[in-house]
Amino acid sequence: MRRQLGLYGLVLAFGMGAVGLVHAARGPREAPWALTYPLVALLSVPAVELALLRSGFRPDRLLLPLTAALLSVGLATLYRLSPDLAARQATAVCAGLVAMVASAHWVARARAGEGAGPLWGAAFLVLVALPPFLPGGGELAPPLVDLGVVAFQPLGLAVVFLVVFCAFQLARERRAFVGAMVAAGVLLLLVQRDVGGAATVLVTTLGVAYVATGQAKPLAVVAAVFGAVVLVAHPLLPHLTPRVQGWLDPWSDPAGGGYQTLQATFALASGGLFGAGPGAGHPDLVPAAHTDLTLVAVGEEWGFAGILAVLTLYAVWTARVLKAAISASETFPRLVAAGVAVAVGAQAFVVAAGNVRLLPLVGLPLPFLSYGVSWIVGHLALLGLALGVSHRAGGR
Amino acid sequence: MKSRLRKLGALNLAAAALLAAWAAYWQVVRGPDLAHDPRNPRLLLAEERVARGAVLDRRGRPLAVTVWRDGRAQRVYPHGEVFGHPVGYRSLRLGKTGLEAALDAELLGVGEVTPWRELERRLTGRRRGLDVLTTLDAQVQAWAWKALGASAGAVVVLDVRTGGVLASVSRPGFDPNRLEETWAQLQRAPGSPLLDRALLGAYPPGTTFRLVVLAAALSRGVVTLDGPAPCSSRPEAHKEVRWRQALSVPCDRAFEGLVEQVGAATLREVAEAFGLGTPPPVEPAATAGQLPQPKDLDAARLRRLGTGEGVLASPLQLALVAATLARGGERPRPHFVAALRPVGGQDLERGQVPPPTRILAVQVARGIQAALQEATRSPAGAAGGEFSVAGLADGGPGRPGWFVGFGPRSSPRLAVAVVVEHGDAEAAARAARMLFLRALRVVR
Repeated sequence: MRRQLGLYGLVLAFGMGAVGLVHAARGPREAPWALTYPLVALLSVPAVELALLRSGFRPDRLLLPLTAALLSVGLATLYRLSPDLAARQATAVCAGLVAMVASAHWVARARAGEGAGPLWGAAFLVLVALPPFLPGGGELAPPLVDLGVVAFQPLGLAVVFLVVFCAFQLARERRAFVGAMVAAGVLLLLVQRDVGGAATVLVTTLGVAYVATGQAKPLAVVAAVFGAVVLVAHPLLPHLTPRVQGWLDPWSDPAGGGYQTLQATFALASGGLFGAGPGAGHPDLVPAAHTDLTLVAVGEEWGFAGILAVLTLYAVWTARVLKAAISASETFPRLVAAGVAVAVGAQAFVVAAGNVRLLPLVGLPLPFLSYGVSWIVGHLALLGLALGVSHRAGGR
Repeated sequence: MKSRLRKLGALNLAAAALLAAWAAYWQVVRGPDLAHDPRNPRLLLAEERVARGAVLDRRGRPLAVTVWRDGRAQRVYPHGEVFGHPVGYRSLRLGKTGLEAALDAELLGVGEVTPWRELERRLTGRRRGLDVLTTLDAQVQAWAWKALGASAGAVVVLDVRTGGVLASVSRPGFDPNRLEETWAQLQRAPGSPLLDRALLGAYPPGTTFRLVVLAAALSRGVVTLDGPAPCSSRPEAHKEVRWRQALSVPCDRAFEGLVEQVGAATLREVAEAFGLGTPPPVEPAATAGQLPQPKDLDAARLRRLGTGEGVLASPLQLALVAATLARGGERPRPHFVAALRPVGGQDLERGQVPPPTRILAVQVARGIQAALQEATRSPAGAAGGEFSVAGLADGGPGRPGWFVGFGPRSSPRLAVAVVVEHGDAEAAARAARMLFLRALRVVR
């Protein structure tokens, strides 16, 4: 307990220091009460862990502190871009922590044989199919639902149901069923022109399936088929071509398709090794820095050192979840943890790769860092699943 | 299943390493280049947050300073149109020219970074640019401006010892303080006031090119100073003019013949050594002028080269010729910047000014110095009189008036080129005389 508190002391000193520095750099215009949102959200993390420990829960020691570190980088970056966004993100973090506790408790007791297995798949499909029938949407991919009170991308929540569904059904070897449901989901997303979301769903499923079956080749064929479908269908996805073109050769259209890539590159380059310093860069020049290009905003003001720290946090986070999967004694929790590791790890990789121009941008947020209500809630729920699995495996 | 999970774990680490390498490529390897790319919008924004450094003359007198009025930075040029040309202007709407453009990075402080300025920037989020200490002299510049009067033309004064530019005047000029109000007018004005004639004006050098021809001939041993110059078609008249007297007398025939004897290739070689045909390496952009290629010269055009026809040179280039002769054949490196000065700090060396290059033997240069003294004594060249100046004046129909020379004669300090458009030798010599009269007192 004491060691854990020490760990949190370190993480929160860093996180609150970062938010405080950004606040100071924004100058006297900013009302100090704007700070309360991110600070309350960050303090809630150790409070929740303390409550879990009190109730006899024994989850992985590092996962929550690591998540708190990632969340504080995200909140500091969002606060830098707009304190209003940071406040909304902080609220989402608090809601996500509730979802996390719920999913941790649920998975700690769940049995593969019981419960309404197929309903998880149905919930996933409904969430994926939802956006066209609700207000909002528009040009964004993944599609956005705007309910007035809150705007969110249902995909962020759908991923949670997908992971549970895949683990449930694959633990019972219902491969065809999983294949059919996921294929339907992928098609629904492609119809909504969300290639990045479709890829996330597919990769997560393939990851769980690989761990469950060990058959790499057929799964690779599925991935190749998906790539071929996107390639053939790309005339139907008009936003895709300029995005890929802007990635391959941004100077061919510096004011259009290449604009975002160029601004991101200039931001990264201006950051250099140690960054411009909090508040001293211009991450606001980068379009969609708060959602798609959060790592670029980190890289401009905190430099390569900041990016390296974030990448390290992701790598250790994913490794800890995989460790929980390895030490799990039953197939279902093992597949759940594997799904969490792949869903979060793969998304972090693909989005970060888009940020540093290794791959084209997919339009998804960076787990725990970027702004996105449903993604924060969804990813914290996934974390809850991993915590529950690690508790089942004897935890710490 | 466990082995598959371990494989995923290995993949996870490999992916993180790949991402880190890729980020390092853009931030560390390509970073410095891209950060200073002119298309990076941060550079423009940086200007608004930077207190731009001042441009100072060689005694630290301000030529361009940033003052704060109503919380906004404003660039003020205390000397107005007198320094309009070498210093240039800086306007968000109209861009930058002159030293303001050439030293933009230093004035903004993105060029040199000292640990202290870096710390200050980190703490305050604000940067101060470097002050630029130039070689210009506010007094000499003002006299040169006055000496030129209302004529269109230019004056360049070089410090013979260092190669530093003491004055660089171009008329008509413009007032950088009122640039935006007068812009439309300046664009339409006759005489192109926005053109810096001192650095960018390419003029036919006329008989001042004889200096180069004579230097080539003497250094190759084609003639001696006491040999007869065939100025006239009548052979008996030859004895009257020797080469040491030939510079300023009507003697085109002799120099046409001399060019033939020297040869096109040798002449070009010597002219290039003087710095003609290439842009002088000063900080703002300067013209290369024009020097014909030997292969383009037929016999007639080669002869006419003796009168400077086919050659174009800027006042800066001819001042450099004068400075080279004044130094006894060593060409100094012309420059505007003496040092960079951080606020409240030690001057930063801005790289060493390269040492002068010897391009002529001392005896040859001394010989031409002597010939120039003869020229100054003659009616057409007179500029110095009691101020012991050596120089050559030229002018005529269809070409500008020139004075190219140096002073004081015994131990030269100033090298000067004056050009007066639509003027004659007398107008240029008069301007040079006025300038030397005063400048030699302060520079000596």
